[in-house]
Amino acid sequence: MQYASVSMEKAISELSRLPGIGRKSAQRLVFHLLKTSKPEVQSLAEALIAIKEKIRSCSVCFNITEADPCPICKSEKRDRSIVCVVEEANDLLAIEKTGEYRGLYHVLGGALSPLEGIGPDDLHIRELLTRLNGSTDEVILATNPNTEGEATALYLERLIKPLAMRVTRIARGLPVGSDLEYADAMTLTRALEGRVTI
Amino acid sequence: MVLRKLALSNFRNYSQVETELSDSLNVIYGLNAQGKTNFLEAIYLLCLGRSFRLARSQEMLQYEAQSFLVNGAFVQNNELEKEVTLSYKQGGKKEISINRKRLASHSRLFGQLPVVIMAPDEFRITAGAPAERRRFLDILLSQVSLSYLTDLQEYNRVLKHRNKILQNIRHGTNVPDAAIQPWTESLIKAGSQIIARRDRFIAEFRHKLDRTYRSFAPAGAILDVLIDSTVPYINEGTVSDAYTTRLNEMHEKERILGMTLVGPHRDDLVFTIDGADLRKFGSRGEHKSVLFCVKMAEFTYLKEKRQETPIMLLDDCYSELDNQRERSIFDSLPETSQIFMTSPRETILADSNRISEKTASGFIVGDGKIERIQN
Repeated sequence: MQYASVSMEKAISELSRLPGIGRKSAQRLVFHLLKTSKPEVQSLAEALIAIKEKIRSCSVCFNITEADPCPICKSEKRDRSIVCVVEEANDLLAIEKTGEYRGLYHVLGGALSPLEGIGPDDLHIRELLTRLNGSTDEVILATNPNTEGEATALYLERLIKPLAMRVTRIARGLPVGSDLEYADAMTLTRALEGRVTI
Repeated sequence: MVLRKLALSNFRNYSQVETELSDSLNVIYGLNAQGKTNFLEAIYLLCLGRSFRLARSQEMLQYEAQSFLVNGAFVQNNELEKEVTLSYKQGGKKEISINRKRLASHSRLFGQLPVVIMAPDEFRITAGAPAERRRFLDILLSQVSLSYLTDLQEYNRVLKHRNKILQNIRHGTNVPDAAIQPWTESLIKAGSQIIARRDRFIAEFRHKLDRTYRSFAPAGAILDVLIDSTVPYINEGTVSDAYTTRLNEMHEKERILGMTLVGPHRDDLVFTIDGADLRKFGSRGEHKSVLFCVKMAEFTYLKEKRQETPIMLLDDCYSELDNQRERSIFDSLPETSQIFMTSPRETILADSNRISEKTASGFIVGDGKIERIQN
């Protein structure tokens, strides 16, 4: 189909390139923006530009940040003896949201995946090893509980264990607040395998 | 478990059909290329989410149609009803729902609706390549154990990654041992589970196989099956050590050939009659008998493990019911199960009524329609 305006066409095709947004949603967004006041659209556009201009990755932990090192790495309140290793910055956000973890992070920038051509040198692994020193007591491996995440955790475990510090792996099991009855069988199987003595 | 009703829409040569089915023996008669096998394929598809002819969804779509739908009303042994719907739209993916609730993954269907198929295609189990026998093992064991299925999926994924690294090495890339190590560990972890599970299975299965064979084979002949594995198996505790040792032995060879040479992906099943390898020495008749025993053993195994009577699908297996061997096979069909049987012979309904205790319901397929024969 053809749109009455080239600008609209362009806006729609740009938006529909975003994840989770199809052509229809893009069209809705554009119509919505058309009805919105100019200052509001302006501020949206500026916010988008700002993320590209101001945000970079922390030179210590590779979290996304505006200040280097990032607020977490700089904070005096964080426990510097624990480092939690995650695949991506949004994994860090998820753990941070719990408010329970007070240690530091390290963002790998992905997981090992030979099929996609991602080897140890493509991740921030060397930087992790340089960071770990006498004041580190524990490294928590919080890579995803899938094939690639597990292999990455195994790889890191081998590298870090000789450094004489505790290496732990996050548990996998049932989501809290759910009913056993409705848990899917695979999760339940894994949860049974990973059962603990109380 | 029984299938009470089946509805097909734009599936293979059927535009729109809906039919009620008998809980006992269903005999489907029709000339060649009228859609008898398609009918069984639809039932199998509902039970396992895949075609026993290994067809892709696109191939099951009726000529010039955009989408197909298969719907079946099952009733389990405990009287619980399960309405299963499988739909496919051109260019999309199969979608499966049970009682109108969509399944997140096709593999969730495994084990819910046990089914056993005996068809000419199935001769690949006794006569075909090792991969065919592994497929047979995997489909059967996945229906019985969900953790087998997850281990298998994990194993296959790890295997692909590991092979990729080995290929890179073969092509001259310098890969430190530490980079392949995690994949080797994951491979051994998932692989050992699979090996142990397959071994437990075979220990049970061979007895069932032997028992069925004795009931109609020449007196004294013994049918046996064993797993020919690249990892020597003693017991569950030793598997991962044996696996590690074998992989170490193959260290050089794997890097030269660029692939993983040890593990359950290289397993094979060997059937023997009185110690002689069926694949090498078996006659056509022996293959037929062995396949029948495999299928009957599969039936009892599934039934015991799932506490549910599987549906039996027999595609054109009894062309000559007057033949002594086929009759004795027919006589040993499970009494309690729902059976679907196809034949191009018009007399099949009369024949089966004459020799079987079960009351057969007849269907004629032709011209893309299924009609119940009134008797």
